[in-house]
Amino acid sequence: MSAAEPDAGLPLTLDRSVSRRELLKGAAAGVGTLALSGGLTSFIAACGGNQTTTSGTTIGPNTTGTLTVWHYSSQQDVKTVQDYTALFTKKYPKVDVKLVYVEFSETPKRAIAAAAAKQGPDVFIYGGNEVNAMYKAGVFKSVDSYWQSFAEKGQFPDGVITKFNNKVYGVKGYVNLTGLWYNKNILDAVGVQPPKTFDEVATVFAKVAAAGKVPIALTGQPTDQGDWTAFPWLTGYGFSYKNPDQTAIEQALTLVNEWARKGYLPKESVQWGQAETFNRWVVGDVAFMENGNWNIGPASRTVGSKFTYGTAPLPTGPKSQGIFLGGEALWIGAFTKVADLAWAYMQETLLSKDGLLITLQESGGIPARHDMANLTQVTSNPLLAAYTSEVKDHGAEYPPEGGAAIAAQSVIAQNWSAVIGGQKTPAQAAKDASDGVKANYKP
Amino acid sequence: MRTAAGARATFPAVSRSRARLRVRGEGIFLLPAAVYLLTLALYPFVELVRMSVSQVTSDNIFRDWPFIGINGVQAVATTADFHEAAVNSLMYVALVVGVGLAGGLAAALTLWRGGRVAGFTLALMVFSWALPGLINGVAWRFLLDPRGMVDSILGLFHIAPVYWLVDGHLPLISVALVNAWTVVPFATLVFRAALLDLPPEILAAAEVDGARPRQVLRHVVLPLLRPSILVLGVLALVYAFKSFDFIYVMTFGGPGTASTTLPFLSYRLAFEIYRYSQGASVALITVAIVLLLALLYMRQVRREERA
Repeated sequence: MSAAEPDAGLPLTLDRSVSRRELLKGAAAGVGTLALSGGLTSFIAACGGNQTTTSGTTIGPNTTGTLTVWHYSSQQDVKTVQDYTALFTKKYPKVDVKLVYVEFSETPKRAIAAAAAKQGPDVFIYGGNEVNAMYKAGVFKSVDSYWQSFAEKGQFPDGVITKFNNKVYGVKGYVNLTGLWYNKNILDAVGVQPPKTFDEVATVFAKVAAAGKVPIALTGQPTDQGDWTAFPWLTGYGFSYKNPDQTAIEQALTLVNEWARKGYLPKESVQWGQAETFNRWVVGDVAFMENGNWNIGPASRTVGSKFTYGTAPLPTGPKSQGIFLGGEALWIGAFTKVADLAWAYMQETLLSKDGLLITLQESGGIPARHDMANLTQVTSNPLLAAYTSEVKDHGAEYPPEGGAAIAAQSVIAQNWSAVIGGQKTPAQAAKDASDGVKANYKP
Repeated sequence: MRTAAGARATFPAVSRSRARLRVRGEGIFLLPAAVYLLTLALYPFVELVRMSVSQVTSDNIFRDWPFIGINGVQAVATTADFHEAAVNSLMYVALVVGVGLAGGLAAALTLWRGGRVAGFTLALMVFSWALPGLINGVAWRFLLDPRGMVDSILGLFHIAPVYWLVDGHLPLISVALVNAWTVVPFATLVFRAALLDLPPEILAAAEVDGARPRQVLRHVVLPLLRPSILVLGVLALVYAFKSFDFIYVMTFGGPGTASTTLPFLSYRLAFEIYRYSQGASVALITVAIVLLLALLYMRQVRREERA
């Protein structure tokens, strides 16, 4: 939207005790330390006693009830959520956990619509950029009282704790981000290595294309998934939401436009989300893929012996690069009638070592707990090494500006998609993107 | 006489009373439809109008909405995004109506005379028409993928992939053609019914006068089909204008904003970036256009009924 808008720049009433950027920096430092520590310590299973005291109520193995959990794990990674539930029901066998799949981009809309009818799930597993809108619409219940009495809260860096109005609402147990996946068979056949800088990319891609292979797959959707994918390339040239430099945007968009024009990047990537990108890459004829560490589990199950693969940090640009730090947080629904059970689910799954181990093994999520820093599974996993180095060097707050940039993110995603699909020239898209971000980002 | 006259005098009173009873009875049967319309059509529409003239964000979506008047609607209507979506909508509607009706007429003429093949074809067409738009859209998304069936078949003739849904402005045309494809069966059924109703003696007279098939079509059949064409045209226009499902599943308004129409822009504003007032304003303008078209349709129907 470029003209006057009645809603433009919604005033954020969010009052955070510590800024999101500071919090995420904390998370980045925490996880970076965790990743780089490299020591081996034996893993001790968590889960203290047989009973959990939650906000004055005691629940235990004989507690009965039904717990509804909304998640968006597709068929590829739904096992992770199923395993969380198995972990929970091991301790609370009489609780019936209903896992409800709600597509990622539909989750906020359905949650807000449900809140209008004073309904919704007991637990959300959600890590998108619309948490701010969901909070404002009254979708979440604060977990502050539970959190304050949670014995292991000190294990979590501030950066993974989401607060609104100084109260804790959501906690991310692990961190996710994008990196560069590669098909080693193709790279060996062509005789190239993963590019380390933007300048190297064109040469490497040209060699791959000359060998009859597809150089790269990434998300070109005009959605927040497109924005997530575009951000490292844009920031690598100096873009930020506070300073949407047109030249920087044009440089990044020229890069990706050339890939699409030369056939290095399939044009149909404008339709791909991250899952479709992964599906295309596992076919076996694509050399690189920009995608997240959450594909570690699905890759081991899907690729099998089809080809050898690895991960590398994304190529870096001339300016300080930012890579969004995502990951799913757990939230309690505002209208739950079993808040104690919902908290118990949080505690037993994504806040516990056992739960985070499931995430690590199934989908490669990097645990945020300090006491998992020395885990062999983290420090010795070659696929995770690229990601842990990125967390330390390039980790950036997500959602950017605490969710205040959501309309500006949409502008970026649309123009990213437009240059890949050939709707706009890089120059036109850069102008539209720069103007659009300026008009829509008013913190 | 008096008695008789008195008895006669009571007749109107009795019939009025019976009529009232009858009306009351009919009213009960109308109640479900009235409740349905009030709750699922009128109430949402009133809320839509209220939202478009109010300042509604995630902050106050479930609280009071400050009144901002028509300014919000005016502001949205002046944005570049709105203008682009309006132009896209016009192109989309023109394609859906044009291709849908032309295809329907062609199919109806082909299947006019009936027979087993015609019956089977009609059954297939009704099946594809009855499928939900989302399912149709997903199926066509796979068919039109560069690695899908359509481009694969073209590849057999050494034709390069067309990139129906991902290249420049072509996606808008591709989605509109798919949408038109779903209009064709309905149009075929209506046109075929109208063709079967044509007076055979007129057609026979045209043949006796030596008119060729093309001349019969142009000077006899098409003029006689005019009422059906008009009614069907307005219906297809309304259907195309409010179309959302095909764009949602096939292109999500992209690449960029290349296939964003007014209904999709409304969705994006309200549910992607949570500018509810703006989304409602775009929806209100769209509804106004559709209502205008619906009024035209009703007027046409009445005219046909009178004729």
